[in-house]
Amino acid sequence: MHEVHSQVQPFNTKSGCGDFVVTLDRDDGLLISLGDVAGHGEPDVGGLARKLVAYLKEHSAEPLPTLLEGLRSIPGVSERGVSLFLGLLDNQLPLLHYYLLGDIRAYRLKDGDASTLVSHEGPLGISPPELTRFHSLKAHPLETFIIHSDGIASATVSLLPSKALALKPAELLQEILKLGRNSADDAACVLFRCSSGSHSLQRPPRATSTVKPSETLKASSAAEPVQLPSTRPSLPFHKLSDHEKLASITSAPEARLFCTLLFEVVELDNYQQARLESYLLEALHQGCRSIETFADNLRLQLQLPYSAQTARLGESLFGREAINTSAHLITVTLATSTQLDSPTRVRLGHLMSEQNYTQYADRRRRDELLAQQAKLAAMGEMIGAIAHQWRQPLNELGLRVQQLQLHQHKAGLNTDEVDQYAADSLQLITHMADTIDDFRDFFSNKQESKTFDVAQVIQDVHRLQSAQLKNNSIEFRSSGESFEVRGHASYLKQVLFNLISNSKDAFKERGTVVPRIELSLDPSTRTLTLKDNGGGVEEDFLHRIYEPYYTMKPHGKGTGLGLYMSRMLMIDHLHGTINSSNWHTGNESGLITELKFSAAKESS
Amino acid sequence: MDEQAEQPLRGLNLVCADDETTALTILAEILNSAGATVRTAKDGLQALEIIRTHPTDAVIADIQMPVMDGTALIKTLRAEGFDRPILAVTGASKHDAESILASGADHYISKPVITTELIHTLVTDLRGTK
Repeated sequence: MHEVHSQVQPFNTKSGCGDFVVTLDRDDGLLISLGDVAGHGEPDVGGLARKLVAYLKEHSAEPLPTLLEGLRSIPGVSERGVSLFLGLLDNQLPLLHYYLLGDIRAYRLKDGDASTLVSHEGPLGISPPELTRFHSLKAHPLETFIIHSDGIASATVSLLPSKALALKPAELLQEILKLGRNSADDAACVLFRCSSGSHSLQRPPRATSTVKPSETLKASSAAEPVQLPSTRPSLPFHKLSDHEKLASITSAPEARLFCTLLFEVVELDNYQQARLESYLLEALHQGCRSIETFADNLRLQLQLPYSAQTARLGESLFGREAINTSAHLITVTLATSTQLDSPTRVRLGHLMSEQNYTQYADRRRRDELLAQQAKLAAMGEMIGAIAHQWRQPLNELGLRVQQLQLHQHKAGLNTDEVDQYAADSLQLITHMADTIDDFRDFFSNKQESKTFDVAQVIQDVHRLQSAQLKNNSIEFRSSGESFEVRGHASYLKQVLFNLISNSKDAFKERGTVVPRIELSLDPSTRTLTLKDNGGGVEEDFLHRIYEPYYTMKPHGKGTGLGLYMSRMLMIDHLHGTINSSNWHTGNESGLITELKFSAAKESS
Repeated sequence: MDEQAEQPLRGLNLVCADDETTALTILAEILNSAGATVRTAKDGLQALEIIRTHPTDAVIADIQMPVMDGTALIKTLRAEGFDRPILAVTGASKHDAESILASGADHYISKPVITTELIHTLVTDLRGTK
């Protein structure tokens, strides 16, 4: 009932293929797994991929968390690391449950737009198990999901939303492989589309007397499609978790953890605690996979896609009044009024134990520190640029003042001369003020996210850098037709500024005789390419240049944060990608960096 | 004495090179009113031509110039045996001073140029050695 298509292409036969796809129909849904074993062209890669596939097939009926644990324990996984998507497209409810680890891209195409699924941490076997998160999201009928390995350029997918509805899934898959396949790598892509009808409508109607555990409330009573309730409890109830995602529960230990956290947050008497815990465990057992929590000062509300049986249990435990069938809500009275502090909310939202939360908080702090340092480094660069940018007009202004004095001494000044002098000077001063504005805008993150013109950004950055480029005799060219990108223009400016800065440093270090930076735009692929002739980066280090604190510059010159931040900005804020490679022709060589942007929203 | 104070550069032939023509024109005017004969050039190559063909007592050269930059100009002049004072003017930061002086310049002046100081330097160098 769900449509699924996949393709795997090895790049050579020697090592076997490290990429794999497994799709299997099971009772509760469609199991989809796409993986990429780390290591390029090494002999054991293909073997390990085959082991993973065999394990998935053999244990396909197991719940996702168990399956993931099983895969994690396969010998070789923790030595190599495996990027993995492991998902289940639910047959009962319009939900996609999944794990997404390492360098796998997952998208959903919806309403002519491609959005990225949340991925976490490093590959399987490398990142700590407790940081691996399980997700559930609503999967609407006819929504297409695309999962692919790094053998396919991620930007390709962004080109496809418009075609998603017009093309058949198989054709769409071919299109992706045609457009984005990297000939130097294994590639795997799987594409699946939720069935067009509702989930329950396609199931044979059941006799009301034989209520099956997994059956949902609505499905048993009416021929209406089952949807997760979209209505939220009205005020004064507020959401307990800070996180927007559903708190997803997949195992009994997770349910217990959830209860423990919940009881830390809201005060329930012992009876209520016991009832709630047994209720949640039962709901889980009956196939309920997600839950949202709301509370006001007196009551706790749980919203979950429960089954008829679970609903009856709820009635018997909490009373008929406690159950709101249409909104799938259960209301529990609290022992005393409750105040919620923010860390507990976050923990509840992420289903984290105290220890995991500490790790999570540490990582957040580290990321913030990193961002702070990167910003300081960028500020330093910027101050240098302002100094250069101001030197020339300051010089001219200085000379004008001295000229004024001279004219006054020689013959005295007449009104016209003073006016002319004032006009010329003001023009220079305005120019300097504009420069300051440019720089201020550059760092302002307060601007709204909106559609901006890429060529305009290039022009702005060129203006900011013009003095430095000129002082270093760097030729700057820009060509190609512009296109529009949605996001913060200032972020793209920062990225370009970093790249130009790096080129400039490369020219200096390598002593490039005729330094040159070429920017070109290609609207058809929505790509901005920056090419310099600064000698490039040693092939062995090329893959590391986007890592934090990694720098090729002499000690004290580079922070190792510029490219790292650029990558973050490109992915998180500009919905694109950034990649660098070396080029050589004749006696020239350098670095090419490609910024690819996903398709612009057609509306607005 | 008065005349000396009014026109401290009287009788001197100077060459000024800078591609920022407005700044160059004003500088030339100020030096000219201090008594010097000033020839201007928009780049290093032009400056080189002028210096080769005209008697020159001192050169004031911007470092960042197209065609032939200040450093190349100074090196060429020194290689050709030009032994008069050369003042390098630059908008670049102080730590580049060393390499500029190493190319053969006698002085290093950073922008914005204060003409009284520039004139003082010229007078000390030229009148002192004469």
